[in-house]
Amino acid sequence: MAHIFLILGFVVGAVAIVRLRYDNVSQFLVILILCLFYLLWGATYHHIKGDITKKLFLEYLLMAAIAALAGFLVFIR
Amino acid sequence: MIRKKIAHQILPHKHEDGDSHAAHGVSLIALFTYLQIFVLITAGLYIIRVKAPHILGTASFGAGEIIALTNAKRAQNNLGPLSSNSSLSSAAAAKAANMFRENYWAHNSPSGKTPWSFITAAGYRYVFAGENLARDFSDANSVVNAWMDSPSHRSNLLDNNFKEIGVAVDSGKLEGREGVLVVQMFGAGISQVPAAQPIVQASPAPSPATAGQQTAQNLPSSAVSPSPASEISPIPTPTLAPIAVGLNESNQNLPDESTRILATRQFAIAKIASLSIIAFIFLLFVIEVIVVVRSAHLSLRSGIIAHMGLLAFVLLALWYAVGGAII
Repeated sequence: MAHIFLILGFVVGAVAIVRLRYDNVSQFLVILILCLFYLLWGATYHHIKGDITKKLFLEYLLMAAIAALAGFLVFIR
Repeated sequence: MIRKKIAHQILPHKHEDGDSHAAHGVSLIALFTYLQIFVLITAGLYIIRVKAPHILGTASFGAGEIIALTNAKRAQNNLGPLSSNSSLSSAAAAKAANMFRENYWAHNSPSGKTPWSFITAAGYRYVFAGENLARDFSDANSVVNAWMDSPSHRSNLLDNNFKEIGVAVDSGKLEGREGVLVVQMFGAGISQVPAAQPIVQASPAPSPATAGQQTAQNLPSSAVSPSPASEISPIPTPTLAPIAVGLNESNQNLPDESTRILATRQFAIAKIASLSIIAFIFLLFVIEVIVVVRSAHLSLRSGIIAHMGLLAFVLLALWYAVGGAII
Protein backbone atom coordinates (compact mmCIF):
# COMPACT_ATOMS: atom_id res chain seq x y z
CA MET A 1 0.00 0.00 0.00
CA ALA A 2 2.80 2.41 0.92
CA HIS A 3 4.56 1.66 -2.35
CA ILE A 4 1.36 2.28 -4.30
CA PHE A 5 1.20 5.74 -2.71
CA LEU A 6 4.79 6.40 -3.81
CA ILE A 7 4.21 5.12 -7.34
CA LEU A 8 1.05 7.24 -7.55
CA GLY A 9 3.17 10.26 -6.68
CA PHE A 10 5.57 9.45 -9.52
CA VAL A 11 2.68 8.95 -11.94
CA VAL A 12 1.24 12.36 -11.03
CA GLY A 13 4.74 13.82 -11.49
CA ALA A 14 5.09 12.16 -14.88
CA VAL A 15 1.75 13.61 -16.02
CA ALA A 16 2.88 17.05 -14.84
CA ILE A 17 6.16 16.70 -16.75
CA VAL A 18 4.28 15.83 -19.94
CA ARG A 19 1.77 18.66 -19.50
CA LEU A 20 4.49 21.21 -18.73
CA ARG A 21 6.55 20.49 -21.82
CA TYR A 22 8.27 23.66 -23.10
CA ASP A 23 8.29 25.12 -19.59
CA ASN A 24 11.68 23.99 -18.34
CA VAL A 25 11.63 25.76 -14.99
CA SER A 26 8.28 24.25 -14.02
CA GLN A 27 9.45 20.81 -15.13
CA PHE A 28 12.53 21.15 -12.92
CA LEU A 29 10.32 22.21 -10.01
CA VAL A 30 8.22 19.07 -10.50
CA ILE A 31 11.39 16.95 -10.29
CA LEU A 32 12.49 18.82 -7.17
CA ILE A 33 9.10 18.32 -5.50
CA LEU A 34 9.12 14.62 -6.39
CA CYS A 35 12.63 14.23 -4.95
CA LEU A 36 11.48 15.77 -1.67
CA PHE A 37 8.37 13.57 -1.71
CA TYR A 38 10.54 10.49 -2.27
CA LEU A 39 12.86 11.49 0.56
CA LEU A 40 9.99 12.12 2.94
CA TRP A 41 8.27 8.90 1.90
CA GLY A 42 11.48 6.91 2.44
CA ALA A 43 12.10 8.37 5.88
CA THR A 44 8.48 7.80 6.98
CA TYR A 45 8.14 4.33 5.47
CA HIS A 46 11.36 2.97 6.96
CA HIS A 47 10.71 4.67 10.29
CA ILE A 48 7.33 2.94 10.54
CA LYS A 49 8.87 -0.31 9.35
CA GLY A 50 11.57 0.09 11.99
CA ASP A 51 14.53 -0.52 9.71
CA ILE A 52 15.73 3.01 9.15
CA THR A 53 19.46 3.52 9.52
CA LYS A 54 21.77 6.43 8.81
CA LYS A 55 23.19 4.48 5.89
CA LEU A 56 19.76 3.87 4.39
CA PHE A 57 18.75 7.51 4.81
CA LEU A 58 22.02 8.59 3.19
CA GLU A 59 21.23 6.27 0.27
CA TYR A 60 17.86 7.99 -0.18
CA LEU A 61 19.53 11.39 0.15
CA LEU A 62 22.14 10.59 -2.51
CA MET A 63 19.52 9.20 -4.88
CA ALA A 64 17.40 12.32 -4.46
CA ALA A 65 20.44 14.55 -4.96
CA ILE A 66 21.44 12.68 -8.14
CA ALA A 67 17.90 12.98 -9.53
CA ALA A 68 17.66 16.69 -8.67
CA LEU A 69 21.07 17.46 -10.15
CA ALA A 70 20.26 15.55 -13.34
CA GLY A 71 17.09 17.64 -13.61
CA PHE A 72 19.03 20.84 -12.98
CA LEU A 73 21.65 19.93 -15.58
CA VAL A 74 19.06 19.32 -18.30
CA PHE A 75 16.29 21.80 -17.48
CA ILE A 76 18.14 24.75 -15.98
CA ARG A 77 21.81 24.37 -17.05
CA MET B 1 39.92 -12.47 -10.13
CA ILE B 2 39.34 -9.43 -12.35
CA ARG B 3 36.20 -11.05 -13.67
CA LYS B 4 34.97 -11.55 -10.12
CA LYS B 5 35.68 -7.91 -9.27
CA ILE B 6 33.76 -6.72 -12.32
CA ALA B 7 30.89 -9.06 -11.45
CA HIS B 8 30.80 -7.62 -7.93
CA GLN B 9 30.47 -4.12 -9.44
CA ILE B 10 27.25 -5.01 -11.23
CA LEU B 11 25.81 -8.04 -9.41
CA PRO B 12 24.62 -8.49 -5.84
CA HIS B 13 26.70 -11.14 -4.12
CA LYS B 14 27.63 -12.86 -0.88
CA HIS B 15 31.03 -12.34 0.67
CA GLU B 16 33.00 -15.18 2.21
CA ASP B 17 31.85 -14.10 5.66
CA GLY B 18 28.27 -14.80 4.52
CA ASP B 19 27.16 -11.17 4.33
CA SER B 20 24.93 -10.22 1.40
CA HIS B 21 26.14 -7.24 -0.59
CA ALA B 22 24.51 -5.13 -3.22
CA ALA B 23 26.42 -4.51 -6.43
CA HIS B 24 29.28 -2.16 -5.67
CA GLY B 25 28.00 0.01 -8.52
CA VAL B 26 25.08 1.06 -6.31
CA SER B 27 26.95 1.29 -3.02
CA LEU B 28 27.01 4.58 -1.11
CA ILE B 29 30.50 5.34 -2.43
CA ALA B 30 29.38 4.70 -6.00
CA LEU B 31 26.27 6.87 -5.58
CA PHE B 32 28.44 9.64 -4.19
CA THR B 33 30.74 9.26 -7.21
CA TYR B 34 27.79 9.61 -9.60
CA LEU B 35 26.78 12.77 -7.74
CA GLN B 36 30.29 14.15 -8.13
CA ILE B 37 30.22 13.34 -11.85
CA PHE B 38 27.00 15.32 -12.19
CA VAL B 39 28.54 18.25 -10.31
CA LEU B 40 31.60 18.16 -12.57
CA ILE B 41 29.53 18.00 -15.77
CA THR B 42 27.25 20.84 -14.61
CA ALA B 43 30.18 23.05 -13.60
CA GLY B 44 32.19 22.12 -16.68
CA LEU B 45 29.38 22.94 -19.10
CA TYR B 46 28.69 26.20 -17.29
CA ILE B 47 32.33 27.29 -17.41
CA ILE B 48 32.66 26.37 -21.09
CA ARG B 49 29.42 28.17 -21.88
CA VAL B 50 30.67 31.34 -20.20
CA LYS B 51 34.31 31.26 -21.31
CA ALA B 52 34.23 29.64 -24.74
CA PRO B 53 30.66 28.92 -25.83
CA HIS B 54 31.68 28.25 -29.45
CA ILE B 55 33.21 24.95 -28.24
CA LEU B 56 29.66 23.80 -27.52
CA GLY B 57 28.60 24.48 -31.10
CA THR B 58 27.20 27.40 -33.03
CA ALA B 59 24.21 27.80 -35.27
CA SER B 60 22.24 30.60 -36.78
CA PHE B 61 18.72 31.14 -37.96
CA GLY B 62 16.66 34.15 -38.79
CA ALA B 63 13.16 35.50 -39.04
CA GLY B 64 12.92 34.48 -42.69
CA GLU B 65 13.22 30.79 -41.76
CA ILE B 66 10.54 31.10 -39.08
CA ILE B 67 8.18 32.78 -41.55
CA ALA B 68 8.89 30.21 -44.26
CA LEU B 69 8.29 27.32 -41.86
CA THR B 70 5.12 28.95 -40.53
CA ASN B 71 3.81 29.29 -44.06
CA ALA B 72 4.77 25.69 -44.79
CA LYS B 73 2.69 24.54 -41.80
CA ARG B 74 -0.20 26.67 -43.01
CA ALA B 75 0.10 25.20 -46.49
CA GLN B 76 -0.02 21.69 -45.00
CA ASN B 77 -3.32 22.71 -43.43
CA ASN B 78 -4.70 24.19 -46.63
CA LEU B 79 -4.33 27.77 -45.46
CA GLY B 80 -2.96 30.69 -47.39
CA PRO B 81 0.51 32.05 -46.66
CA LEU B 82 1.10 35.05 -44.42
CA SER B 83 2.80 38.07 -45.93
CA SER B 84 5.82 39.47 -44.18
CA ASN B 85 5.03 42.93 -42.85
CA SER B 86 7.81 45.31 -41.86
CA SER B 87 5.67 47.07 -39.24
CA LEU B 88 4.92 43.77 -37.52
CA SER B 89 8.61 42.87 -37.78
CA SER B 90 9.51 46.20 -36.16
CA ALA B 91 6.95 45.54 -33.43
CA ALA B 92 8.44 42.06 -32.85
CA ALA B 93 11.97 43.49 -32.72
CA ALA B 94 10.85 46.20 -30.29
CA LYS B 95 9.17 43.56 -28.12
CA ALA B 96 12.32 41.39 -28.08
CA ALA B 97 14.49 44.40 -27.18
CA ASN B 98 12.06 45.36 -24.44
CA MET B 99 12.11 41.81 -23.03
CA PHE B 100 15.89 41.91 -22.78
CA ARG B 101 15.90 45.44 -21.36
CA GLU B 102 13.18 44.85 -18.75
CA ASN B 103 14.32 41.26 -18.22
CA TYR B 104 11.02 39.36 -18.44
CA TRP B 105 9.73 36.21 -20.09
CA ALA B 106 6.05 36.95 -20.60
CA HIS B 107 3.58 38.41 -23.04
CA ASN B 108 3.05 41.49 -20.90
CA SER B 109 5.97 43.50 -19.55
CA PRO B 110 6.40 44.23 -15.82
CA SER B 111 5.66 47.86 -16.64
CA GLY B 112 2.34 46.83 -18.18
CA LYS B 113 3.14 46.91 -21.88
CA THR B 114 1.01 44.48 -23.87
CA PRO B 115 1.98 42.96 -27.22
CA TRP B 116 -0.60 45.25 -28.80
CA SER B 117 1.16 48.35 -27.59
CA PHE B 118 4.25 47.35 -29.62
CA ILE B 119 2.12 46.65 -32.69
CA THR B 120 0.31 49.96 -32.40
CA ALA B 121 3.56 51.84 -31.74
CA ALA B 122 4.99 50.37 -34.93
CA GLY B 123 2.12 51.99 -36.82
CA TYR B 124 0.22 48.82 -37.66
CA ARG B 125 -3.57 49.23 -37.67
CA TYR B 126 -5.18 45.88 -37.20
CA VAL B 127 -8.37 43.98 -36.82
CA PHE B 128 -6.79 40.81 -35.51
CA ALA B 129 -3.43 40.32 -33.89
CA GLY B 130 -1.59 37.58 -32.03
CA GLU B 131 1.80 36.82 -30.55
CA ASN B 132 3.90 33.69 -30.01
CA LEU B 133 7.13 33.66 -28.01
CA ALA B 134 9.98 31.14 -27.88
CA ARG B 135 13.39 31.09 -26.29
CA ASP B 136 16.59 29.04 -26.20
CA PHE B 137 15.95 26.90 -29.26
CA SER B 138 18.91 26.43 -31.57
CA ASP B 139 17.09 26.01 -34.87
CA ALA B 140 14.01 27.39 -36.56
CA ASN B 141 12.43 23.97 -37.06
CA SER B 142 12.40 23.24 -33.33
CA VAL B 143 10.76 26.60 -32.64
CA VAL B 144 7.92 26.10 -35.13
CA ASN B 145 7.45 22.46 -34.13
CA ALA B 146 7.20 23.48 -30.47
CA TRP B 147 4.50 26.01 -31.33
CA MET B 148 2.68 23.41 -33.40
CA ASP B 149 2.75 21.05 -30.40
CA SER B 150 0.96 23.58 -28.23
CA PRO B 151 -2.76 23.96 -29.03
CA SER B 152 -2.96 27.71 -28.36
CA HIS B 153 0.23 28.57 -30.26
CA ARG B 154 -0.82 26.25 -33.05
CA SER B 155 -4.15 28.03 -33.36
CA ASN B 156 -2.24 31.30 -33.84
CA LEU B 157 -0.13 29.75 -36.58
CA LEU B 158 -3.15 28.29 -38.30
CA ASP B 159 -5.58 31.15 -37.75
CA ASN B 160 -7.26 32.07 -41.00
CA ASN B 161 -7.98 35.57 -39.70
CA PHE B 162 -4.31 36.46 -39.77
CA LYS B 163 -2.97 37.74 -43.06
CA GLU B 164 0.45 39.12 -42.13
CA ILE B 165 3.38 38.20 -39.98
CA GLY B 166 6.43 39.82 -38.44
CA VAL B 167 9.19 37.91 -36.69
CA ALA B 168 12.25 38.95 -34.69
CA VAL B 169 15.05 36.61 -33.67
CA ASP B 170 17.40 38.20 -31.17
CA SER B 171 20.02 37.03 -28.71
CA GLY B 172 20.91 38.46 -25.33
CA LYS B 173 20.74 37.93 -21.61
CA LEU B 174 17.32 37.11 -20.23
CA GLU B 175 16.69 36.19 -16.60
CA GLY B 176 20.41 35.75 -16.03
CA ARG B 177 21.03 33.51 -19.01
CA GLU B 178 22.38 34.18 -22.47
CA GLY B 179 19.97 32.88 -25.01
CA VAL B 180 18.01 33.44 -28.15
CA LEU B 181 14.53 34.89 -28.22
CA VAL B 182 11.97 34.55 -31.01
CA VAL B 183 9.01 36.92 -31.16
CA GLN B 184 6.36 36.12 -33.73
CA MET B 185 3.55 38.61 -34.32
CA PHE B 186 0.51 38.03 -36.45
CA GLY B 187 -1.96 40.53 -37.75
CA ALA B 188 -4.69 41.37 -40.17
CA GLY B 189 -4.58 44.98 -41.27
CA ILE B 190 -7.87 46.79 -41.40
CA SER B 191 -7.91 46.97 -45.18
CA GLN B 192 -7.45 43.21 -45.43
CA VAL B 193 -10.65 42.17 -43.72
CA PRO B 194 -13.55 41.37 -46.02
CA ALA B 195 -16.47 43.74 -45.88
CA ALA B 196 -18.68 41.00 -44.42
CA GLN B 197 -16.49 40.93 -41.32
CA PRO B 198 -18.44 42.62 -38.51
CA ILE B 199 -15.95 45.33 -37.75
CA VAL B 200 -18.43 48.07 -37.10
CA GLN B 201 -21.35 46.09 -35.73
CA ALA B 202 -19.35 44.40 -33.03
CA SER B 203 -17.84 47.55 -31.74
CA PRO B 204 -19.10 50.50 -29.85
CA ALA B 205 -18.04 53.89 -31.07
CA PRO B 206 -14.28 54.05 -31.17
CA SER B 207 -12.63 56.16 -28.60
CA PRO B 208 -8.97 57.07 -28.34
CA ALA B 209 -8.76 55.78 -24.80
CA THR B 210 -9.89 52.27 -25.58
CA ALA B 211 -8.95 51.67 -29.13
CA GLY B 212 -5.46 50.51 -28.35
CA GLN B 213 -6.40 47.73 -26.01
CA GLN B 214 -9.56 46.31 -27.48
CA THR B 215 -8.32 45.49 -30.86
CA ALA B 216 -7.09 41.98 -30.52
CA GLN B 217 -6.45 38.91 -28.46
CA ASN B 218 -3.43 36.75 -28.34
CA LEU B 219 -3.78 33.08 -27.72
CA PRO B 220 -0.75 32.33 -25.58
CA SER B 221 -0.99 33.68 -22.09
CA SER B 222 1.41 35.64 -19.98
CA ALA B 223 4.13 34.02 -17.90
CA VAL B 224 1.89 33.80 -14.88
CA SER B 225 0.54 30.55 -16.14
CA PRO B 226 2.54 27.82 -17.84
CA SER B 227 -0.55 26.85 -19.77
CA PRO B 228 -1.02 29.22 -22.64
CA ALA B 229 -4.73 28.66 -22.69
CA SER B 230 -5.72 30.24 -19.42
CA GLU B 231 -5.77 33.96 -20.03
CA ILE B 232 -6.95 34.10 -23.50
CA SER B 233 -9.85 34.27 -25.69
CA PRO B 234 -9.71 31.75 -28.47
CA ILE B 235 -11.74 34.07 -30.62
CA PRO B 236 -9.93 37.02 -32.14
CA THR B 237 -11.99 40.10 -31.46
CA PRO B 238 -13.05 42.72 -33.96
CA THR B 239 -11.35 46.03 -33.57
CA LEU B 240 -12.61 49.20 -32.06
CA ALA B 241 -9.91 51.18 -33.71
CA PRO B 242 -10.92 53.66 -36.36
CA ILE B 243 -10.81 52.09 -39.74
CA ALA B 244 -7.59 53.14 -41.29
CA VAL B 245 -5.14 51.87 -43.79
CA GLY B 246 -3.75 48.43 -43.13
CA LEU B 247 -0.04 48.61 -43.61
CA ASN B 248 0.01 45.72 -45.96
CA GLU B 249 3.34 45.10 -47.51
CA SER B 250 4.54 42.67 -50.01
CA ASN B 251 5.78 39.21 -49.31
CA GLN B 252 8.98 39.91 -51.15
CA ASN B 253 10.96 41.44 -48.32
CA LEU B 254 11.39 38.42 -46.09
CA PRO B 255 13.86 39.26 -43.36
CA ASP B 256 16.96 37.17 -43.94
CA GLU B 257 19.28 38.39 -41.21
CA SER B 258 20.34 35.46 -39.07
CA THR B 259 21.07 35.52 -35.37
CA ARG B 260 24.09 33.57 -34.24
CA ILE B 261 23.41 31.14 -31.44
CA LEU B 262 26.22 29.81 -29.28
CA ALA B 263 26.53 26.66 -27.18
CA THR B 264 23.90 24.89 -29.24
CA ARG B 265 25.08 21.44 -28.20
CA GLN B 266 25.00 22.14 -24.48
CA PHE B 267 21.48 20.81 -24.06
CA ALA B 268 22.18 17.67 -26.09
CA ILE B 269 25.38 16.97 -24.13
CA ALA B 270 23.62 17.52 -20.80
CA LYS B 271 20.69 15.34 -21.83
CA ILE B 272 22.81 12.46 -23.12
CA ALA B 273 25.15 12.53 -20.10
CA SER B 274 22.27 12.63 -17.62
CA LEU B 275 20.27 9.93 -19.39
CA SER B 276 23.34 7.67 -19.58
CA ILE B 277 24.23 7.94 -15.90
CA ILE B 278 20.66 7.61 -14.65
CA ALA B 279 19.96 4.71 -17.02
CA PHE B 280 23.15 2.98 -15.84
CA ILE B 281 22.15 3.23 -12.17
CA PHE B 282 18.61 2.09 -13.03
CA LEU B 283 20.01 -0.88 -14.92
CA LEU B 284 22.13 -1.91 -11.92
CA PHE B 285 19.00 -1.89 -9.76
CA VAL B 286 17.10 -3.93 -12.34
CA ILE B 287 19.93 -6.49 -12.43
CA GLU B 288 19.89 -6.59 -8.63
CA VAL B 289 16.16 -7.32 -8.58
CA ILE B 290 16.49 -10.05 -11.24
CA VAL B 291 19.43 -11.72 -9.50
CA VAL B 292 17.77 -11.59 -6.07
CA VAL B 293 14.48 -12.96 -7.39
CA ARG B 294 16.32 -15.87 -9.04
CA SER B 295 18.56 -16.55 -6.07
CA ALA B 296 17.44 -18.38 -2.96
CA HIS B 297 20.18 -17.06 -0.67
CA LEU B 298 19.90 -13.33 -1.43
CA SER B 299 17.23 -10.96 -0.21
CA LEU B 300 15.91 -7.75 -1.74
CA ARG B 301 17.33 -4.65 -0.08
CA SER B 302 15.08 -2.15 1.57
CA GLY B 303 14.22 0.84 -0.57
CA ILE B 304 15.19 -0.60 -3.92
CA ILE B 305 11.65 -0.32 -5.36
CA ALA B 306 11.49 3.33 -4.28
CA HIS B 307 14.90 4.02 -5.88
CA MET B 308 13.79 2.40 -9.12
CA GLY B 309 10.56 4.41 -9.12
CA LEU B 310 12.47 7.67 -8.71
CA LEU B 311 14.96 6.76 -11.44
CA ALA B 312 12.19 5.68 -13.83
CA PHE B 313 10.42 9.00 -13.28
CA VAL B 314 13.61 10.99 -13.85
CA LEU B 315 14.42 8.97 -16.97
CA LEU B 316 11.02 9.81 -18.40
CA ALA B 317 11.42 13.51 -17.54
CA LEU B 318 14.90 13.70 -19.10
CA TRP B 319 13.87 11.79 -22.20
CA TYR B 320 10.90 14.13 -22.65
CA ALA B 321 12.97 17.31 -22.13
CA VAL B 322 13.28 19.86 -24.91
CA GLY B 323 15.94 22.52 -25.33
CA GLY B 324 13.72 25.58 -25.38
CA ALA B 325 10.61 27.14 -23.94
CA ILE B 326 7.50 28.74 -25.41
CA ILE B 327 4.72 30.90 -24.05
